Amino acid sequence: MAPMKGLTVFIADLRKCRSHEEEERRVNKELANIRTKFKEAGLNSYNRKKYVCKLVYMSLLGYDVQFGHKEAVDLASSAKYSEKQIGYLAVTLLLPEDSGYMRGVLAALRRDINGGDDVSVCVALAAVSNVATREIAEALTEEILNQLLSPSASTFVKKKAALCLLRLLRRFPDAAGAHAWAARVIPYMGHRDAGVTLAVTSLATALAQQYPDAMRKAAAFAVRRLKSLVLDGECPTDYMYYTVAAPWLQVKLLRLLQYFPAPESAELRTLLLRILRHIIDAGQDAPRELQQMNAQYSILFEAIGLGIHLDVDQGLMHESAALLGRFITSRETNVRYLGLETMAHLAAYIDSLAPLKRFQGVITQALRDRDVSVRRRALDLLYSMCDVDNAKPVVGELLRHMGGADLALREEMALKVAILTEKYATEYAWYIDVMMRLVALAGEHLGDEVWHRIVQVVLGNEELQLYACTIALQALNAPVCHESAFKVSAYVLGEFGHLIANAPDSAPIDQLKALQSKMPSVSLQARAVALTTVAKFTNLFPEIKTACLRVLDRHRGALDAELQQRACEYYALATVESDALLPTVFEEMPPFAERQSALVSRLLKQEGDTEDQRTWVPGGRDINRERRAQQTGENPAEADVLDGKDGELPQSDPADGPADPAEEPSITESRRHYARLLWESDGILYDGDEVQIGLMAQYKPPAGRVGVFLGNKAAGAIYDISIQAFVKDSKDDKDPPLSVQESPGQSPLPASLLPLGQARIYFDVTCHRVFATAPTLRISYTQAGAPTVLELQLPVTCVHFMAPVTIAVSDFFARWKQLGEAELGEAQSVLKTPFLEERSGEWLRGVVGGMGFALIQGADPAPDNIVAVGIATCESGERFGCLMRVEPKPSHSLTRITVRATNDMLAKAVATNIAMIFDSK
Amino acid sequence: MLSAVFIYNQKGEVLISRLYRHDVKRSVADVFRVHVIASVGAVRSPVTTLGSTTFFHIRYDNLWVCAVARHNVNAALVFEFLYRVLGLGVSYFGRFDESAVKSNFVLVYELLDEVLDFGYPQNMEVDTLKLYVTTESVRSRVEAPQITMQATGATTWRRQDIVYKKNEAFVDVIEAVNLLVSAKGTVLRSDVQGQIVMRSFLSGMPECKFGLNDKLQMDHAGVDIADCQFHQCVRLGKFDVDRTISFIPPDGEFELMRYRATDTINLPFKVLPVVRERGRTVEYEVLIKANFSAKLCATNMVVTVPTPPSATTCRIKVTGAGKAKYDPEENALVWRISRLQGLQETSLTAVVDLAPMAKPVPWSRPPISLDFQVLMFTASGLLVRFLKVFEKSNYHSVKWVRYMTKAGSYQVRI
Repeated sequence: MAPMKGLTVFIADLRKCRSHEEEERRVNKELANIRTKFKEAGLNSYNRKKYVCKLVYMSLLGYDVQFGHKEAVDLASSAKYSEKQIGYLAVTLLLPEDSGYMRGVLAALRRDINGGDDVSVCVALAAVSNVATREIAEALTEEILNQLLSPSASTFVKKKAALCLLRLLRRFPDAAGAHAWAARVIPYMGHRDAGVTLAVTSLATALAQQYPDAMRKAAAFAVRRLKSLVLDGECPTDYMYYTVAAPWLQVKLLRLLQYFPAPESAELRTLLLRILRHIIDAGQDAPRELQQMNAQYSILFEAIGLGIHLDVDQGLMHESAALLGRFITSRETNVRYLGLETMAHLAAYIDSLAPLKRFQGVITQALRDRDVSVRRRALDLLYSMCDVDNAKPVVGELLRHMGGADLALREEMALKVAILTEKYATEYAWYIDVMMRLVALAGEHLGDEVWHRIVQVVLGNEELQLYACTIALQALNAPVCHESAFKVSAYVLGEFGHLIANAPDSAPIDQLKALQSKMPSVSLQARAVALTTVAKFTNLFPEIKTACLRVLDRHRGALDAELQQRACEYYALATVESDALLPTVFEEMPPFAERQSALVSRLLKQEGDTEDQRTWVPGGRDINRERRAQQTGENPAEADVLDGKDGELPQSDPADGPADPAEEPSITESRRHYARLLWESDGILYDGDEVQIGLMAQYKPPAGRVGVFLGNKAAGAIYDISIQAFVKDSKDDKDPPLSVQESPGQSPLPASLLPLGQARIYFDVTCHRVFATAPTLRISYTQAGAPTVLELQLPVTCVHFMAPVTIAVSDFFARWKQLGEAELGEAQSVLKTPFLEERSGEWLRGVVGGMGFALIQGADPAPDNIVAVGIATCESGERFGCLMRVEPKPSHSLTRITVRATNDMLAKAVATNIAMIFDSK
Repeated sequence: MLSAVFIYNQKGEVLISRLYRHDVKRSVADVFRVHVIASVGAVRSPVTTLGSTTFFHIRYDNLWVCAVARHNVNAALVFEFLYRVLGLGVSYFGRFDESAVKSNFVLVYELLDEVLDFGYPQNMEVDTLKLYVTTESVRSRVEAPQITMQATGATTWRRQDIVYKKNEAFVDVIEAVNLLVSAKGTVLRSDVQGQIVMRSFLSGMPECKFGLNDKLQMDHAGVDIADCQFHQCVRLGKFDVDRTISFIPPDGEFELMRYRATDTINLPFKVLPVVRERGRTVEYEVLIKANFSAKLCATNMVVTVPTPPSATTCRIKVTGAGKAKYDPEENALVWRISRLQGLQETSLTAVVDLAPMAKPVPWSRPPISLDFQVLMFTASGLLVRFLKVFEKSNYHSVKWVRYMTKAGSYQVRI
């Protein structure tokens, strides 16, 4: 950039300013000057650049610059590079995303990316990355991708294009349409230029987290590239960093591989093992220089991470454990930190914790480290490596450190101690002791969850109750009693005080006195708990009822509304002349239903990453296994709709734990709707609180038209409606067995739907071959600001492309036998049909007829049995005959279905459909 | 009381660090620098409590003067002390800034040692201190035994043996008017901060009596003055009993008293502004009337009329006294009137063009503010009725009284 004197002078002026006020005056003066200058016509290029630069500088200093946007866009659209450069800089820094000038920016960007020399393309790509609005992402992704994929583009353009795509993808995962092109970038991971490879690998890592299927091939590329770097030592000299070959690339590749399952091919697997072995062996000797150490260790830690992910032979991991043991004693804080972090990762997956337990002493030491993040890692690691054997010492250590730990860490520590104690408690006394100590030590830093949990555990374990009462009373009698401890004690005594009533010094009146003595010093909330306990005492110990009533009476005039209300109500309850009322109201609490511990969910809630997703969470093997199982087996329902699962996808995040039971009815409901539509041509597909979805279908094999109706049941309008139907798993299939397309020539969906309004859309479906999976209907809309996505199974199966044919009665069994011998396809099932009565033959006939079969009257000797024939037609002209025999036995509540067809899949589909229909009747 | 006093320069480098107690370490200086000086703009309050340590700071010239306390001290006292320290500095070095501190390290430490003992403020009277804290430019005029006599005697602020050929006393009544008027012309707030400064050149140990037209003394004919604060030489007991102000004055200049008046204030100027925003321009019509006797006149008047931050060009016309121009640094039209005779009026009309903004933000319309000086006029109506000087030798003395009213924060909303 040519020097601009005015700009230099201005910056010098500002830097000379001694006070903020002086600077502000100077800025005001300059702003006024620029305003007048911009108002005058005929500003030359040099001045325009200079003034825009000044504006940028002022905006960087934090002043609000509300003009000059037009000038910035003008510069950006200029043909000269020097103007373009400053223009884009100003656009990225000055323009807000919703600015009206964005359209002009977009046009300039498009022009530069498409035509223009390398420097212009690069400056435009940099601007795209910095501005990155949704509009730009939608409009320019294609062009940027072309730059990356084009054979003529230079390496640095490719590099920038890849990083630009990464930025767009991170910002708008949905707008970039990455699914379509994800796989196309993979080959560039093998680009000869290491810079391009590095950039593309970053992009691939982001893509792999979103579209693991499409990116599967990237794993092989990554392994091969690693091999050439690590084993063959092929690396351009520019990328050698302190004798380590392209460390950044190695780290990225290793990280990328962690998002994929272990390679299936044995060759790749052994290759990968060799690579890991090589890296780990190289890590044995400590490098001398700091930079080399950083590079080498970063690779090593990623490699160990990958090793853990692949669950490779335990020998390698044991070696890694030993290596990590050396790192956690290192003098470098960073190395200690990483060592602890990786060891926690290892502890989360390794089968035997024995190799880690050797370092327990060192790890405990790390709790006292100077650096707070190291302390935190040490805590995570201890938490992860805790099991039944070492629970006591670990918990003891943690409690010992609790007093000295800083506040932020203390809360986490307390939560972890609470979880570990509960999980690995073998003696009840130990659990109660530890928890009471924990409450006393870390009281202020604990959420309510902890004391709630203690009460839950005590309620759930009868053996615990007696001991808990003793300890509770002790706690109340201690000179200092922490608030949470008070609450726990009060609750426990209220429930189980009678268990210790006969012990010395624990008579009911002693319990009441202990409670009363602490009541004045605790918060209102805790006092309310204590009042409930007193009320329970009136029921538990009739002998001290008068004393209890006195306490309640005193609180009837409490200033706090909650206390007053409780006291009044309890007092009234206790003085009512009824023997049955009090015991009923204060009946012993039932044990709590076991759910996921609130503590664990609270701990997990603290996770929240903006960058690459973590592949593991601290917290032992069980939790990580569960996590992995949830991730891999996430969508069993969508894989095969006909295996008896419902058509609706689980919408809740898998990490949320089991679905809310309240959702159950709606699921069975939608399943019933689906089954009904298997034999009826129109009806309701989904009936929720906000929307209702209806379906109307007409088939003319091999084609059909399905109309989807969306009705708004909510109180407010719904917006952003989109209705799509597609066949899952057929994206990359050139020739899908079933095609689903929006019918041409229909009016588009309305932008919004008022309450009780209805939108409709038609889809044309064509059956090319017999298929197994029903298409998916995805409906998304926004209601009251909350976007909702519904994914439903569209009831279009190959059975729907069946038309009835009539054949002679005598021919039926001849064909039946013929098909049975040919063994082309047969399905038989015996279904429970308790709903069938004597006269429900009519219904059965309706079902069979509705499925597209012709009933053959009088062919079967038994009058109740139904035999039927249908022919399915495909686009290719292929036709498949299908015979069905239904033998109901109402007396046994059973029905046998036999289907024989010239196509196995068809026979199975018919049988499954009938099973579903019966199942949901 | 105070545990330490620090003086920093503009950048936050410690120039002076004096600890008075063992409850703080020298490193608290860094705490203050990091939390207050380095985060300018974030910390506005002059009192900052970090942990259990409290920092009181004032900024003066290019210095930060900071007192540190670990106890719940009287903040007003601390600030009084800090301002006195500044006064000392000005009196000793002429100008109290970074270079003055740097070239007088020893003296500054010596002064800090004298004025604060174990964190408790000691004698801070400049004249007395100058007797025994001396430099080349400040030489002591008396012998050591006399210093002890004076510093520990009844009138620590005055030497015994002062002799003038001509005995004179000057009294300046300086008033600052604070005013806030709403856009509709209602007075929202008005008060006067007054100050009586005296310069005495009197021989011996004169006993002075001072009389004002105080409402309480004058049986409702005078001015209602409140919040009187006196120099330490005034006998407060007497004032409490019969509201007479009697004292033995220090030699030279000193501030005799401070007061405040809120009732029946004579506002020196009436401002009638009309500001209209019309799309891309703003029109101003501002009329100012001098509201005092035609014999007097206001000098050094500056009227600041704020403009929107997007102003570009201004067409200004002044009818009457003064000249106005657009000052982009202040975002305002600055109208300077060197002299405005009493009962006269002057007006300004202006049209300001605005530049288009990317996101139109409504203009906050800050108030018009005035700066001025009017001699021989008191906004509170306060008058000096008499100043009597009694001395053993019964000499004749000449007294001069001067009145001045200036603007404090004199603002009119538009």
